[in-house]
Amino acid sequence: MTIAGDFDVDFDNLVRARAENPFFVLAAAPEASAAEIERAGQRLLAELAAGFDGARRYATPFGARERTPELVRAAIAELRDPARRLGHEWWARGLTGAP
Amino acid sequence: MVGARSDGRAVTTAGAAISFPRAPAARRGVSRAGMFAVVRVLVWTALWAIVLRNIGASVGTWAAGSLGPVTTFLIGVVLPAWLFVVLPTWIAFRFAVPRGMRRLAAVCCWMSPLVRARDLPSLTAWFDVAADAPARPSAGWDDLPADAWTALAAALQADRGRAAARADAIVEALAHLPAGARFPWLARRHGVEALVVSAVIRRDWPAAVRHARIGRGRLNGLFELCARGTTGEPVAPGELWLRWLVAPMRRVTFPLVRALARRDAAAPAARPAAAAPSGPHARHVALLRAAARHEVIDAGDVLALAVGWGTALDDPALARLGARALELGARDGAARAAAVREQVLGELALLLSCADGELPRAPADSFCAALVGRARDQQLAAIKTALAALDADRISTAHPLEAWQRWLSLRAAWERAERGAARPALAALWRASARDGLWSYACALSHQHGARAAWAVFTMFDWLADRAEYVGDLVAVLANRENARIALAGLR
Repeated sequence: MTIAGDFDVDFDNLVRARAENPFFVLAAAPEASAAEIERAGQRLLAELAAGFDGARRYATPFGARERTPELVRAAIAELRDPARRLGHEWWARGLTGAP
Repeated sequence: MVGARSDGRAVTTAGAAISFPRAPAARRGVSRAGMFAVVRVLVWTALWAIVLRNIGASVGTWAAGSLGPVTTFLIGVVLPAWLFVVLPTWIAFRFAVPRGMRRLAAVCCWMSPLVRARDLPSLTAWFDVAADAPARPSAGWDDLPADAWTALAAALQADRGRAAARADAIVEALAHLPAGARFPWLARRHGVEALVVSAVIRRDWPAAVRHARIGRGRLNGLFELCARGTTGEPVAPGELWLRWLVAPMRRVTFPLVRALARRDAAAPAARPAAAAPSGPHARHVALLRAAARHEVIDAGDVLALAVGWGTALDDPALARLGARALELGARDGAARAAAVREQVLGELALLLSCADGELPRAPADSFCAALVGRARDQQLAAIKTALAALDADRISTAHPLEAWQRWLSLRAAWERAERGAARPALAALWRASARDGLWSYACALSHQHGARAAWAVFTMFDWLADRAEYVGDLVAVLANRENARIALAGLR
């Protein structure tokens, strides 16, 4: 009696996209340079590989979330694209109140 | 039934009432049901006569004429009546169901005068779902009718499967059943209770409040009060403890009630209010999170946010964003900035199309006007999508409850659009395709499944008549009222 239905609008994905903003995942400032972002990403990947507890979670304006190597790699890749970075930067600035 | 037959798509507007096509089978069913009811009453009579005789004989011998009239009345009348009327369902729902003893629960319901014989198969299906029994695609399962018990079973299944929106749609439909559509008292009490408990277990307090609204009984009342208190409404500790005292499951609910009562008693006025997000970004995400939790979103809040976005995404702000895009090395900075604005507008429109409350006829500015137009378009697109899923030709393969749930999807989309004040667009859509499509669907459901679908068909025709009235289609109003009347007769 499992019934399929078209009731759900996927707001979960939208919320997840905001919480997984690459600047939050990498704990980087919105104005950080490309080199700083690469360094932050590589440092986090090394810490996660070493099992460093502090690297397993990251802070967002909506509470702490789990950080994984996949998330870090995806964040680095997102911020390499200037057009995508613009959107993430704009959201990160707005959500953190950064100028 | 007035409307299309299962063998044709055309809908006639000529009034012609026909009986359910399975009427002969239904008559045979009534005969079998009658026999079943007689046997059931005979078993009750024999069993309770023996119980009553034994109680009377044992107590009479033990008391040896020493009992007063009040005690005699209590032992001779009140206690047996309670045993006969209340005890079987108490054992079924308070003892057997929590322990997964489905057969015992079914036997107890069979023995209870509070349960109608026609509800027993649906009730058994509800026991299966409540006990998390694996789905059994058996013939008996497929022959279940669509009624309040099977609807609650589907809602419970959806709720436990984290399909909260589907569960909410069923609860919403049950909350607005037309007069005459049965929603048994036991279903309101125990069926809804299982839904509320499921929401409470996963700490989804807004859902618990929504579900408890259609319920009855002391436990539903207690959970509703707890949920209201937990979501921030003031709750008097005295009332909370009183509700707990009279409700069942006191041992289980004690920690919850104690925590809530202590919190409210400690600082009823000094409880810090959650800081409201200030900027449009934070407010935007807060609304998205509320929508993801299936909380009710107010259209006014979305429009107020849109006003905030109007200044945060005005031409100077977009120019600054375009300049920053060029700094970062992106080509066509203006287009990149416009894409950000477009993304925000799209998400706001999604929120507004799902929000409660009327959409303004004359929006404040161009940003709000674009938003309202897009939300209306999304609402109408949702109706068309839901309408496309209502295929009368495929009704023979669909269970009546499944067909009813497909219609619920359309109903939700339609009513959202009505709240959005899209009356002219809805009237056009009604006459162009919705009226005939829905009519054919409901008629095909009735012709194909007969009495098993009568409950669902009655709610659909009643709703159709109301919608026809809303758009001023008098012929459809009369035809659907007549169809609803015929379906209601099939329910009795």
